[in-house]
Amino acid sequence: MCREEDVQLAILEEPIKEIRTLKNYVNGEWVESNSSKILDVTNPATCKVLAKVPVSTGQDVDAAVEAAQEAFPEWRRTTPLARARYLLRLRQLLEENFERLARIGVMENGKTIDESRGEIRRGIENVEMAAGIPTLMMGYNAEDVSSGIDEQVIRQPYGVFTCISPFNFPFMIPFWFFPYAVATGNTYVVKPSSEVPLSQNGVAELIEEAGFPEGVINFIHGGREVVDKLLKHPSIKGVSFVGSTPVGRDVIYAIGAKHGKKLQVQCGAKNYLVIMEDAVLDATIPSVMTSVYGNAGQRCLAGSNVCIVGKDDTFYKRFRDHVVQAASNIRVGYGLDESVQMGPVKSQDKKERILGYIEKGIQEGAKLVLDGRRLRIIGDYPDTCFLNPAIFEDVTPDMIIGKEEIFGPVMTLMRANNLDEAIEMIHSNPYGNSASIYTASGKEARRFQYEVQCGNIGINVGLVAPIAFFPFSGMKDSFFGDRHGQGMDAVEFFTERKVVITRWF
Amino acid sequence: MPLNTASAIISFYAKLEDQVANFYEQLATVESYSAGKETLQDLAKENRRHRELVERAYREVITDALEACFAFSMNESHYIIDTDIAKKTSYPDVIKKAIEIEEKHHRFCLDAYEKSKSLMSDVAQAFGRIAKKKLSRVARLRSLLESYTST
Repeated sequence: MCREEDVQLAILEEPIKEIRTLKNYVNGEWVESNSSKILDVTNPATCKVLAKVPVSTGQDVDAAVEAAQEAFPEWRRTTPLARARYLLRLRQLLEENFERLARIGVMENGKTIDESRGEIRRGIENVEMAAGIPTLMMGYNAEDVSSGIDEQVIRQPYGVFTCISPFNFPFMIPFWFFPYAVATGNTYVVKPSSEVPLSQNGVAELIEEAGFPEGVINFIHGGREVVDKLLKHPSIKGVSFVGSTPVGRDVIYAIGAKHGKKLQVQCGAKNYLVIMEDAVLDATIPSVMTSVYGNAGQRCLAGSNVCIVGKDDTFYKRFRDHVVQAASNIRVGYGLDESVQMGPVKSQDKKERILGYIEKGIQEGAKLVLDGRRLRIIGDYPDTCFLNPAIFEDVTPDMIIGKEEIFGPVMTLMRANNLDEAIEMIHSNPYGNSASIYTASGKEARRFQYEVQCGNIGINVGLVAPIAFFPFSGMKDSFFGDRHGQGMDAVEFFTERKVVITRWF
Repeated sequence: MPLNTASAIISFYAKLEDQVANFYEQLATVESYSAGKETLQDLAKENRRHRELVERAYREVITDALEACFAFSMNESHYIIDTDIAKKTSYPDVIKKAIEIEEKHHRFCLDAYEKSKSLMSDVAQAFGRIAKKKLSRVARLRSLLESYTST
């Protein structure tokens, strides 16, 4: 029997009606993979199969890279303004298909409809940013560096790039890279996550509709073999990757560097949210909820270690009680129900991994004050991938749950006597993706921003996700490379600078 | 039902605007209410425009970083509008009913404005503008009523 507040709202219409086997998009055509190995793509809320995706072969990769390589000479000679116009056409199509793409994201990933729409918007913003390429790609010059001699820097594209994207943002993450790559005159191969290939399949359809020349942007589905082949392919100039640190550092960066690739490798995280005693609690609580439980905690910017600063037990208890209450009230269910605030995690494997961390936390002596294993799901869905929000207290930075990335809806409460101690705790962790402080003190906030070694700093902002005009930063074990995705960093990553010195006799 | 996410708020609001627009459009076709026909048609058109304004604002500002799933705590039961009218309801009674509807709708827009202003300023601005507009609609309907009763 459901309680009144548990009643499920009407489910938004699902855009995927039939199961089909996806094809690769290569050289402007939809081609079947040579592989006989096919994987199911499932909806983590309903556990229903949505599509079949091929695990492409090395031969498939060769075809995609060759197509991109062949398209490159003509594409780089296409004027930046003309290239920008292709992007503007794509932008228009993305707007027209906004809701359909958002619902596909919910179905294949499990996130809520608000989260998925937010993801689409962020992707579109990158297209808008990249469409400014006629200006963004400009070089610079100086007259008379010596008598009668002028010098200039011009930016030129390299050739073929690729991105290897993760399951947690199936639509958005390739947009941190490919719009900039093609805007600057490179050609591209997108490798979507085989767990969530439908969003990028939808993007490929729109790229075809936008009329990009054959081979400029290609999409290839698959797994490790595809990744390995792309990393070692002699025609691939550079690789963008988003995923875990072990894979990013030990596979992508190690192998890619060995094969001379330009690399931007965005990895894992263990993000701190530091709560000062003067924080505005009413506004802080929803922000902390969004940071920790948004996307079911499956994002590299998710808040995880929530560190309450100060010796005041009353403040600590008040904060703890507030977050426990707020987290207990979170409605968990299928993201196409608009009243649902948190969806399932992507797969049973991922759920098992998170459950393993909860067990470890208990064994390590942390206190589970909200047990997310006690399921309360809105609607009649299999519990395979669902978890409710969990909260541990008495967590220390040396505990496994305090130092490793859980990538699930688990909050770990910590305490620090003062800001010095909190910053020390942040620095004791090998990751450096993001950290936030909640305070009313400008002085403390400035100190936090100045000292904390993380790529993305939030001041009264729990989810430090940079918009398209700024790089998606990251430090320490959260990033390997020198130029990040998005913004001018992306323009620089995808262009080579050439110096020209001129003298006329 | 809870209105606890931005999406739920926007959908509920869209339904309200449609419901009210349909109400005015139907009234405008009734012969015995012809005194207010032009106003009723105008109001209905405005409802459609308002819906579009709020939906566009939401779609253009929503990002995954906002507290869209965690900052709202409204309940639709407080804002449900009854647009049913009995046959042969007099013109003044119909206008009185319209005033009640507008006042309730105004309350929703005001509450949605308050809840969204700290996180989605464009959506809040849209709700704020529309809330003001609802008050001016109430005034317009009142003057319609007064001009009818004074004749």
